[in-house]
Amino acid sequence: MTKEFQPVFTHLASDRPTFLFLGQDYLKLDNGTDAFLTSILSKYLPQNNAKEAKDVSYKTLLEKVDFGDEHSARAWISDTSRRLVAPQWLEVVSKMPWSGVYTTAIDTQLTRAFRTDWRDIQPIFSKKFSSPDPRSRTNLHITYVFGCIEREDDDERAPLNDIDLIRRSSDATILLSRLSEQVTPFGMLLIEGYQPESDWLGARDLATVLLGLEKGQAHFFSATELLHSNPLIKKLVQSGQVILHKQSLASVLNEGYASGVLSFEVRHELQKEGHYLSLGDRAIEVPDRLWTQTNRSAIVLEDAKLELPKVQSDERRYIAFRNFLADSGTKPIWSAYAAGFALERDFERDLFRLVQSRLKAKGASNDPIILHGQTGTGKSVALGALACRIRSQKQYSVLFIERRPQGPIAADLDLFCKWAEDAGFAATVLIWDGMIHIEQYTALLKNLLGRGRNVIVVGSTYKLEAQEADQRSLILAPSNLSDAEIGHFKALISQFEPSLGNQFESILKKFDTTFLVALYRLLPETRGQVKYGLQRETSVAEIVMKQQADKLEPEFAGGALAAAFQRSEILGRFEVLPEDKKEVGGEMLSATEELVGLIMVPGRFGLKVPIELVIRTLGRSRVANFHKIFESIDIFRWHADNQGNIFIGTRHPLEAKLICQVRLGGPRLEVEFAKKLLIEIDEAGDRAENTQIQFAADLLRNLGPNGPEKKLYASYYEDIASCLAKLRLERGVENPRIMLQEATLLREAVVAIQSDETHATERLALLDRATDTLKSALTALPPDSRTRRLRAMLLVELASTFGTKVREFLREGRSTSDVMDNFNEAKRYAYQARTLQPEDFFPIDVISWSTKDLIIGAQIDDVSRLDVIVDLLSMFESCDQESMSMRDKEIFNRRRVEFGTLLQDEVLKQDALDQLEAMGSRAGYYLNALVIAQEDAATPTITSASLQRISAAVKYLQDNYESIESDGRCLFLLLRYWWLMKAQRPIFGGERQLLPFDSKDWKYVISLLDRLMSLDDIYQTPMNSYLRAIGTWSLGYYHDANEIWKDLQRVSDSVTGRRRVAKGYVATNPDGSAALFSGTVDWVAEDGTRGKVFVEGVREKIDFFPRDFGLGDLRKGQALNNFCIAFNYIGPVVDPSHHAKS
Amino acid sequence: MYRIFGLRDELNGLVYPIKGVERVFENMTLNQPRFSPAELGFIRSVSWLYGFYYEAGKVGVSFLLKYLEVYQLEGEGRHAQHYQIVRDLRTFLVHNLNMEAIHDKKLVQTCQEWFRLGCGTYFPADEEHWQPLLNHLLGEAVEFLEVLRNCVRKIESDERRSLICDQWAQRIKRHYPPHLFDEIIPAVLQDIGRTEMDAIRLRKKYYSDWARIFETYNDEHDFGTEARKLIESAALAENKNTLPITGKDVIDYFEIAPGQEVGNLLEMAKQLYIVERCGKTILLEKLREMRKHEEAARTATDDAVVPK
Repeated sequence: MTKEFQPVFTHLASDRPTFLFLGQDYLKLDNGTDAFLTSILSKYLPQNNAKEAKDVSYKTLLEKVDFGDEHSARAWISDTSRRLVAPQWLEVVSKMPWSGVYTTAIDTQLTRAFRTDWRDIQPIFSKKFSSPDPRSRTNLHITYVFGCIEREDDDERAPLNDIDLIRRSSDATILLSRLSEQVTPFGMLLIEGYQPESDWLGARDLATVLLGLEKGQAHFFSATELLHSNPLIKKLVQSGQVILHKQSLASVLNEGYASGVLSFEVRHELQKEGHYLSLGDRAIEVPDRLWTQTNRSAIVLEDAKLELPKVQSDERRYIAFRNFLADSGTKPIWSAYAAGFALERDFERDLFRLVQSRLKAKGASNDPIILHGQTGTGKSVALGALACRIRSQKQYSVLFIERRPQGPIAADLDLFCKWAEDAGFAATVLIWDGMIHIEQYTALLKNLLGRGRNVIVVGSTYKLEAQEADQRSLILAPSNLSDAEIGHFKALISQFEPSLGNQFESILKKFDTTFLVALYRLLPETRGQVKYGLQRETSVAEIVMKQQADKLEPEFAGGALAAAFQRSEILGRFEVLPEDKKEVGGEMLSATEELVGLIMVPGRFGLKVPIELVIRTLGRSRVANFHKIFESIDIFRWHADNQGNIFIGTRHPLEAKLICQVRLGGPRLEVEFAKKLLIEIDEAGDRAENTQIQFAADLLRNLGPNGPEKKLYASYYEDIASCLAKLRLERGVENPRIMLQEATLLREAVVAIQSDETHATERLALLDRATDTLKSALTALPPDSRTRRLRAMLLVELASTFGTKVREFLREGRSTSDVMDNFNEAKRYAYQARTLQPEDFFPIDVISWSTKDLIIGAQIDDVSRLDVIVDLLSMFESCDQESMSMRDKEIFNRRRVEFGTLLQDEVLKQDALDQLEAMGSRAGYYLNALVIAQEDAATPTITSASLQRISAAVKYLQDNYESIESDGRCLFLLLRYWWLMKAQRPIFGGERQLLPFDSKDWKYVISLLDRLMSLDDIYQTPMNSYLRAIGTWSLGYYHDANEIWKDLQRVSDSVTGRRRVAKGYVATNPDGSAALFSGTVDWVAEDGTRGKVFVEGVREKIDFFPRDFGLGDLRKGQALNNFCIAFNYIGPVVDPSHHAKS
Repeated sequence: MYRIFGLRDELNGLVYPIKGVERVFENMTLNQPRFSPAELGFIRSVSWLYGFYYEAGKVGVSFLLKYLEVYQLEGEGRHAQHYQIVRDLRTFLVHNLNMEAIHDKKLVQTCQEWFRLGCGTYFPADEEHWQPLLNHLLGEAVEFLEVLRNCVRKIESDERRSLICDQWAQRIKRHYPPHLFDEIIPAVLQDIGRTEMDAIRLRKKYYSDWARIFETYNDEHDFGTEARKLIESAALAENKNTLPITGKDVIDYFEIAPGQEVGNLLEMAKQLYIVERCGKTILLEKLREMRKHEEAARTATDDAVVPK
């Protein structure tokens, strides 16, 4: 193998980005003649003859040809281009999994040549198009620098005259300017078929691009004497900027293939086909489109991932083990589980048992299973092991979401889960090692349950406080190793060298699990060195004792890790970048130190920084030899996701935390680095998928009060918020997600400085900034369904901000009207949020604490006070507790009890109530009804005594209907009590409920609902629409009912949780028995999973699911008898009669 | 079958005037298959069609297939599928496949699906199955050749005929059939003193690599010279003299991790061993010296700052 190409082969065999640049001479490589060009010139420049064929270029087209009717000429040339067949050398080149292609050619052949069964093509003709995945190997971007002959639009088509070329040149420059950023300091650019003298892209313009790369990144192939003699190219060669090779690229690739260094076989992960999941003894292939789509969001745990690794030598096995130790903290190494490298911890058994019990349970839970613990306790490894274990049962499908810069897309996961269910998998276990808030896992779970998916979500988060952790769905990963775990570890490590187990035993007993993070650094690089390594150098125990003597931070349990760092001298090994210093946070730092800070600060939270952001922040001039840093210092890691986006991260968050503590000395400098990154954030491509925005949001969340360090950075919240304001106002990055974080930090800054009285004005100023920012964000947010959730979050934050203002005003003793104005604003925005996301608990929580502050602290009259309390109670009543997560339910009940107590104190004064009624206060009617009903939330069972009281309350409200008909709170209370009285169960009292309502009853329900929903938007909830739809249907207005359900389906996308698909009610006879129907099958889907039945009597086609009936091979026209009709938020559905309860 | 021969002759006749092309199909040495019993007829037909498309028509058929889309003759992809299924069926019928390997699994599934469409079962077992399959295969082949013929007609009348034919001729120019190598190999082996080697076996082992390499050469290459280089390189690689050291020895001696560097060092060791055969210890020492020199040479030109 030629040594000249060794660096190229090494690079191509790695995962690093590789770009191809094809010049306009690429079609001449075969025989010196461009047949396409010759063909064009033969038609449009007949006097051009064969003797000159080798001398012509695309410049000839511009300089000598008059095309006349350019439109027809383009059509003809484009048609000619379709007749081009890829030269055989190009067939070889196209087999490589390129990260991207740039070309100055204008023909259409490249798109065809590079399209394969495993790779799609994204052609780029215009600067207007920018992509979220510019380095995707499976969606290869081919950038036509000068446009393409096939295109018609001005900014996409290839020029056919000098003037058009001049016009196009600026676009070409912009397109080419993307190249160096896309190549990154890790990548390589291979150039073929380029001659500066004949190409439309001159040497100077290409040199501009090449100078944006590092030395040795650009390689020219088929380099002719002419190329060598070009003065500019010569200089670039002499400076080492570019390397010229005489051989063609295709022949070099063939050489690599022949010597076994390169393979033309596409990596399995890149292939769309051939991915199987075992179900029992069947192997089910994942459809290629589904595979591609799901992989955007999660890893599908296919059979290939669980296979035992190929037979390995002992040396290779040791390396693999060490690599597992290196990387398993941040991403799953699937082969390692089969190889037995993972240490099983005790808590994993509890985790597995809990998952199993959920899988076997009949009803779905709204709560995800959460594994929580400090960094370095083995959560990531445990979740990977859980995934493998579940999958190996061959009953359930498993999706795994590693820590990734972009969150998963719920629709992708929904599609996969549905496919899995249809394929026969009992459920999908979705394991998300996100280290994020529990609420995010809950939201995803509810979203999927709301679509009827049979799914369990398992997530990871930082160690929860004791009171938070007291729940059945939480599993703790403890920091200390048990004796049993120590024993397992000894056995594991002794596989590689028998003496290792004993050597480490005493260390294991002294330290917690952070030792496992340190193990990678303590073990020598090769197996052969193990014996010698530990004997030749100071033993680990001595290092640790020395470290203790040096008094490293005592609360940081990374003593072993610090010792390991010292042994490997990493902390002192930063010498690779230029030494010039820059000021950061008042300190002069070298480029290396700056790089460390930029990566370690996010790294301590497990975050990876997009490469573009790192380069932009450091500055191009300071990233020379960038890739060498990563070769020489292994605390950094670079990662590429499935779309080819590249990120720089750390080996382990714990190492990053240690380095931050040791090198940066505290939060002040950490915040400075965070700000340096944040100010360089850029929005590009599709907003929803922008990795930089996601990174910024994640970093801010981790720095904020809900991050793992709680309020460590509290003193800097205002500072960070100011940085975000600068990003917005000076850099023009107006992203609502970032603005939400900005406002939250401002509000939290207020909370942080609350103890200091002299800062009252400052605090209010901060809150004003927050409200202005949030209002701007709401204005900037496009009003479509995709932004619904974000809009709701902005509104909740706005409500919180006004609530905080209320608090401040009360402290300051401001006037009641000022206080009430802000309180009403808080309520208004909270209600708006609730309209958008009716199941979210946050708006209720905001109103709760704001109301509490108000009634305790404000000087308001009794009527107003009671009115406010009644508003809150009414809101509590409208909550569907069954849809809440356990955590939210606990907080909700606590609030209810708080207000129940407050209310008791107020309302027991009967004369106060009489006074209210006399004044005509609707709150008074509400409260009186409550007193009459004496409902006890703690005992929901209906007794005859409670029924009597409820009936009395209903009568009371009905007698005073005229007074209350404009009060939604009273109307809803009436509806609720009436329902309780008639059905003897609450509105949502379980599934498949039978209601003893006759037509008069339904008309009454509908009239109440109509009146209620006409009063205010906040009553136009999915729940109310659902009841209306059932009532309308029950009265026989089937078409009208279907119209309501159509609207409800659309709106209920915001409704999450099983409520959406749960069959809450069954159509009944007036006596309360289930109504039975018969009909015939109208339609069944090809896969037999769903269909429609024409129901006799009703004369409507109603959805049905054959699986519910245990029926297969149904045909149109086949009879179906004695079934019920149940209702969910999507509509009526045919249901087997045995489910209906009497 | 006669129809197939007729179409073959028609195709060859149509392209005969094209300079540098002259025929789509070379002569076949395989006898025309007999069709009875049907199962044997099927297997023979697959084999024959494979030789017909992929050997005798290697360049022409693959070239014409690229134009089916241009002239809207692709028939919803079924002609390309026929071309592929002949290859797959041949592999399926001739080789023992590994069902753990995804590629082989897919191939088996594809063939079984084709069987099911042709005779109603994934697993044909008797004449009742094989006869319709044979008919189906030959019917597809006829349709395939008719489409190729139509494609040639389209090219004939295409304004850009010369562009297309030039590209076709280029491909033929770079296609060197095995017999051309067979003519050179014995002479090369004699020249390098490797007369004991089996020339045909050597050609069979390396022909696909050589063919691929030649496809990427430009017009300026000389077949004789380049073929000779490839043959010599292959013959020398066949050298059965094994080194006295292994990769494990290299790993242990240099205390390096398994990987490309080990392979490179073994290559270097091979060069040293060819020059002078020696024992394990001496070879490792020489290898160390050679590595040191190479690293020194690399460091001198490298502008990276070496970490402490």
